[in-house]
Amino acid sequence: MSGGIIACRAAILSIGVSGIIAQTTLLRELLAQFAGSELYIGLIIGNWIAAEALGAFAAGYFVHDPSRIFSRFIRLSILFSLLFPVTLFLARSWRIATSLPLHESVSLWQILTASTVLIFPLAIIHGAEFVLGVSIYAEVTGKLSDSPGRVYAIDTVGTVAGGAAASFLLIPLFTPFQTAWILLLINGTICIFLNMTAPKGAERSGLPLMLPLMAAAALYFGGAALLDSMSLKMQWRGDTLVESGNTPYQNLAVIRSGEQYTFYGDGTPIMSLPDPDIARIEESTDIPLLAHPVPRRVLVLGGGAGGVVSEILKHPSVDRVDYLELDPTLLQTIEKYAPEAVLKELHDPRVHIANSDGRAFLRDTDAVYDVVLVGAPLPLNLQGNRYYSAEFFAAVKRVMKPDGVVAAGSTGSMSYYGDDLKEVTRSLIVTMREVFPHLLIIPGDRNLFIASSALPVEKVTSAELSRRLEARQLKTSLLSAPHLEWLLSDTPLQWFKSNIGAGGVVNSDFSPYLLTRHLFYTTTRLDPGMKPLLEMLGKLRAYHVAAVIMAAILAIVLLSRRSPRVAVIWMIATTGFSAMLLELSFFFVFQLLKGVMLKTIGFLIAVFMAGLWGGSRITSGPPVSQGSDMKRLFAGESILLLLCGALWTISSVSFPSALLQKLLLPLIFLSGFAAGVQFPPAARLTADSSGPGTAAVYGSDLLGGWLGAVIGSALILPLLGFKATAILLLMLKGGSILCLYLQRKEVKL
Amino acid sequence: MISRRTFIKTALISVLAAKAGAKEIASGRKEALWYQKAGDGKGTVKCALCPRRCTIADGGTGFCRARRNYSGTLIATGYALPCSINVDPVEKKPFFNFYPSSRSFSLACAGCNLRCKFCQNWEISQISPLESRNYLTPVSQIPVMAQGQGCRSVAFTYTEPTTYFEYMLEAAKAARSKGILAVTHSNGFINPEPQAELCRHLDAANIDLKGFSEKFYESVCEGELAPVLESLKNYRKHGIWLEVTNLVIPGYNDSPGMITEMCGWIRQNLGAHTPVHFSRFFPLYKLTAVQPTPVATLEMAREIALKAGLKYPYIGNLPGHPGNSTYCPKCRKIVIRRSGFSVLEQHLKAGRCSYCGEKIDGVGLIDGGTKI
Repeated sequence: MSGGIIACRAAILSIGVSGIIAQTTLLRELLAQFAGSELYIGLIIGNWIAAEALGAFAAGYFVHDPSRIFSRFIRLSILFSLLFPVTLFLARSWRIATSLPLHESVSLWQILTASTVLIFPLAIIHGAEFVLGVSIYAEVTGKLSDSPGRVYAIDTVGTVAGGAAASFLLIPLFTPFQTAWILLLINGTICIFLNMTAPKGAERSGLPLMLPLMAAAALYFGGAALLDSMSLKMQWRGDTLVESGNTPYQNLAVIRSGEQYTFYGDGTPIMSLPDPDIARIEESTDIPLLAHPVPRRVLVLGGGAGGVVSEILKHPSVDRVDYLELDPTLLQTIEKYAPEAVLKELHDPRVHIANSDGRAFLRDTDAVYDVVLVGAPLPLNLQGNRYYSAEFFAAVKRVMKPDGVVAAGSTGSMSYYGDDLKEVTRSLIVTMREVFPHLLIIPGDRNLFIASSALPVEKVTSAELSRRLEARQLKTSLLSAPHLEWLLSDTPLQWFKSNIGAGGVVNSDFSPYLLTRHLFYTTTRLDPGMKPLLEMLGKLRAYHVAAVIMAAILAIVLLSRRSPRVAVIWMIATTGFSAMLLELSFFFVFQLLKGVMLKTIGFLIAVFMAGLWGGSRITSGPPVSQGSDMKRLFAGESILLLLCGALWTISSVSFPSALLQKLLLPLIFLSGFAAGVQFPPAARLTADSSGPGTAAVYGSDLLGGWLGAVIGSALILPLLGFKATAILLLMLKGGSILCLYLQRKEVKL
Repeated sequence: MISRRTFIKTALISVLAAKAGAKEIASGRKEALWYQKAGDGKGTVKCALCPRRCTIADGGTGFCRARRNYSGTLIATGYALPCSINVDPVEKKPFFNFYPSSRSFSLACAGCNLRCKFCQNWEISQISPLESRNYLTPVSQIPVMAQGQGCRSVAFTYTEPTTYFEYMLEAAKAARSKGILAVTHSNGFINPEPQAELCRHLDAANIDLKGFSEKFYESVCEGELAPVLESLKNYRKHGIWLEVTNLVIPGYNDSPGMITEMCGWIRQNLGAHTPVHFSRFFPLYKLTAVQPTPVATLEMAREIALKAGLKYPYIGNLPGHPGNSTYCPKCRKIVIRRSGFSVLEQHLKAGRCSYCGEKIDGVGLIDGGTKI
């Protein structure tokens, strides 16, 4: 193999590697800015794909002059490598550009614009690189016809390798800017190599020579660290940032103000030390423990450090506290800045800390508890919603003694319940009531709910709690008998009940009603203009979408009688939509199951891309017999139908989680595979006098994929739930099969 | 991109407007007080209620979202349409030196003439009465309901009462005619003339002094400090019982310098007997990435106030803290012991400290309290 071919292959491999690494690094940076909501992943991935297509389309105009493709590719590659750290920098400092103050929440409009503006330039270049890569490959190997397929294959290998590297190597070990310099180093070196081996007569670029040296120097002399700290200073401008870092689970930042340290996870304050939020801690910890006559074993699901655990230990009967905190870095960081507070509580012999996911722990443990405290953040994403669902409370019930109590909190109000907050509150109440017959409601600006299977907690009086408070000789700063009397008095409860009313929708893992309404609540808070739109969306039902799908199928059946190509294009568009939505649905199932999606997102995306390539690999060769391309299309459709069925089954039947975990990667692979299988035959079937229908097929696939990411995963999935989504996808794909079946005679090679 | 966004927003607003139209019938179209017709032939009016002095074109709404121009007539759209009705301890307003442990019939109509990023009641303060879920409550019913609930006072609170000035004024009159007191919790962003009219029918006011710099008011509240200071002095001048609330936000208005300056101003202009509530901030509304105020900061603020010579500095929004209680300014013993909104003990005799006989400033400080 000649040096030219090696250089060319390395360059194409690097397109794949760079793309997935940039995409995942940026995705994590942006999610940290958007309070960590996975629902925006679809938006980011969708935008990335759309921009790549735009880049590929534009690059089509530049590939006609073979002598200049090398220099152009090199320039693009360098531009991409340099723009990546710039984009990272902007991702951290965009608040300044939009003059959004540091402590203010980001509205949906701002999320939409920031993610689009930041992602587009980088992804456009990446799309253009691919097209130029194909030309270079054709030029170097002299094989014009099968170059796209070969380049696609090498690019996919790079994507899978890059995805794995991002998930298991780069994210745990390097900062985003170090990652950016590593990419620059790799791409710069490859470009030098490419320059040297370019065929005679090809225009060369002097640009890359210095770049690997610069990148190496930046890495070695701390250039990456400098950019990192500069961008962080801009991100936290106005506050004294003492530390910030990306853990596999979140972005952790520590802000100092005098003697006080505040810890932020994905930009949201988690806790403050050494002077903690004692009023909230005492209310949310002592009241549930006082509601139990003799609490011995206590389980804390998140948020225990910084005061909650030490408050529990004050109750003399407690002999064991199991404290779960997913992110070990969080506890290490807290200990670093507030050693005394942490020593007192976390190093107590009665306290056992486990760095594992709460849901996973509940599944596996054999222990039983008297009190379970839910310290998870508010349900603003799927990760959070897993601690407010019926499945969660059922899992909690399993580890509770019959007379044990579980306590959870939620946003409340003492003056007014708007529709969304009302729905959120009702949903939590009916969800807890579905599992537990006894429920005590303590309304406030933060509502406290205490539930039990056998202990009639709703009958407990403030006098009884006060008696226990005294008997246990608790030294509380703020909680007192009169305060308990006020909290449990009839006036606020009656007001609360008259505002909340009866009824409500049960919140579940696969139909996250509480999450959706909570997102409505926070969205209208910042974008009041969105309220009518969200009200309409709140009324959306599966049969509305079903009616739209039916109407579309009818229209396509009619249209394809005139032009049979329409049936094929429709099939590809709906495949793009379905494959993307299935992919993201399986990502979310992964999140529901393990709670660690962010850690592995790069790898998960790469698995999908590998499936996509694998599928197209099988069908890209010429068809063996007439009509076999039709069979291939139907084969792809069948796989998609099966996947929809799988999604339906996962969300309706309670699956053994170990088995489900094993199934998820194949399911994600197959989602890509099914789409990949259909692509080459569809391009051939839609060919007309001007050549294969690649552009039409590519365009409809892309539009479908983009809609699947944006409308599907960010709207339909959370609004209607996984089960309804699976059925709607079944309908959609059933319809496209029908359309194609009716035209099977007309669509020919 | 911009044009599409504008298009969508306009489309949304027109949907809102259509909805609002349906509710207008219920509001009874109460004509607003304190405005002039601009006389430009287009029906434009000038609102004179608050320092914003909005010029409102026909069909338009003031900055507060509660006062709307219908063909040249300014309508108080929240009139008789409170969105929140509650029976609260008067301590929740907060009033600590005013009829301790009595109940207050509290109501609010939607709207506000400021845009504080930390608003606790943003769900009703930052919308129009045409959007909120309301309870039609004629003025005549208010004293009846308040008496039925055993309330000593009627409180206009939660949102900005100035935006439903007409309703507040009439309700205050109706309440007082039945021997019920009228109190308000306001941001003090009101013009002196309407304020003078209001004060004729008011017994007590708790005014937010949100920070002590123009910059704070401008950047965090979209307001101005000077008119608030002016109206604070006016409440004192009109002889209304006055308490001041200062929400302490870490990093925004918690510098010792600012608090010292503020306490000095209060002492000099409102008197040392003015109770000041240093209230604890929680991350709310738009300001969600700020930590809750550390207890130590609130304690520092209270210390500064005591040093400045203020007699009744309190710590609020932090139930159970010793700073919830009233101390005798002379012997420093607790004369009203509180936890949050609950009064636990009173050591008062005819409005004086039962230990040393020092006069305790306030209204309705009766032996043993006024619990009904």
